[in-house]
Amino acid sequence: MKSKSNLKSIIESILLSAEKPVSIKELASISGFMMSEVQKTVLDLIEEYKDKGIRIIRKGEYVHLVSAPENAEVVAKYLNEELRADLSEQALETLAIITYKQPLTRIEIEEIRGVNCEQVLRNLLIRGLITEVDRKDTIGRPILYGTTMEFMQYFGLEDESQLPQMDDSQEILRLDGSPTKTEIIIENEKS
Amino acid sequence: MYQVKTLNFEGPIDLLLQLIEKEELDITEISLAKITDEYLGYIFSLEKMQSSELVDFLVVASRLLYLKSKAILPNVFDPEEEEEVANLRQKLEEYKRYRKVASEFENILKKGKRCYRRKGGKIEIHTFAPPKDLNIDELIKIFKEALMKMPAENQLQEEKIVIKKISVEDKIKELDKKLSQNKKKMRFSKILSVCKSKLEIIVTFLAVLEMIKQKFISVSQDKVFGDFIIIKV
Repeated sequence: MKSKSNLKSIIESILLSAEKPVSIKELASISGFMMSEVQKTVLDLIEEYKDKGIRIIRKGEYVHLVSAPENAEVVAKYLNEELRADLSEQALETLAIITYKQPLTRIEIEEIRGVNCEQVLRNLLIRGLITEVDRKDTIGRPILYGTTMEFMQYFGLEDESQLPQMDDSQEILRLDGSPTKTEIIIENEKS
Repeated sequence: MYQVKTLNFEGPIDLLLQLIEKEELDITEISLAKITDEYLGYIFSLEKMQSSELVDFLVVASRLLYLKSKAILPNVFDPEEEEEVANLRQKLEEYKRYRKVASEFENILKKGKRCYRRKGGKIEIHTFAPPKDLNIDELIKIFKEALMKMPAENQLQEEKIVIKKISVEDKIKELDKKLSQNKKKMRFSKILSVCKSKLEIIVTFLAVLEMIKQKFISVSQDKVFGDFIIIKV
């Protein structure tokens, strides 16, 4: 009989060995535990790591083992990297739109900004801050963009709840009228 | 990015918002009417602009002019324009919100917090590591099995695509010859039956039309869209 403390340890090991973010689904499948259990254990783990130098950050269905954001300077020094905050105004605006309205197409972004976004989007893609998450089911099957886990890391965000609130505390609606609340979704368990 | 006087703006919405915020106004019809002259001043002083982008600026300008005239004259009202103005205001509000979020993003970045992940953790083995009990016979056996499992090579048929260039002139000569051989009368459908491609059908038809024009042949047809008989004159 597998024990819960075993699951916690298993998750830690997998998160450490993984390079990319791992989904709750993957953890469940690999460990053989149910998704609801994995979900709960992951949340417990996140809480445990809250003040440590190693953090578990979360974006939707995915979790990732990373260094504590407040130690960025020292870590950057060790890695011989520069701490740059050099996103242009256009890039920040575009990123803001994608963050709160994802997933959406280039045209939809341009509708809001009023200007061509091709170049900005390309830059953001190269930087790994956004990615193609899907294609829209309309003519031309345009690319739908969304933010990445690297985006979370770049801004030192541990959880999407740490994102700034939108003004007027209006619920952020997608262009088709459906709300975009990002949260962990537990799919139906398969027996 | 356009730069006029001291203002940097990217598009009409950007410009409008900056003008409104500069005057510390809300996004209302009155304030939009107020900044119309300033807006026009900016876009007229723009030199090199792509006409496609200029269109966007002018569309917004027409909205502003409507609002300005509405503010001055009491009876100005156009339902379509009203709807467009409502759209414009909504766009401005939305853009304003995201601009605010963008500046908050910038503040977050300035705090200098960043998370780093582990990179290159996987150990890659680049050598062949066979199991201990592998001997030469075993290896031969496995290799033979692997060869048998491989799919047979499919010889792709070489398709020879020959595009024969058919000219209307050649077709006319051909048809003339055929008509002579067939007692000067032929059904068009029969002529088409030997055509090998769509192109040939089209050229044949063109040849027939040319021959009619030149009065080499005459045609008769029983019913509309029906087959017709070609008779050599």
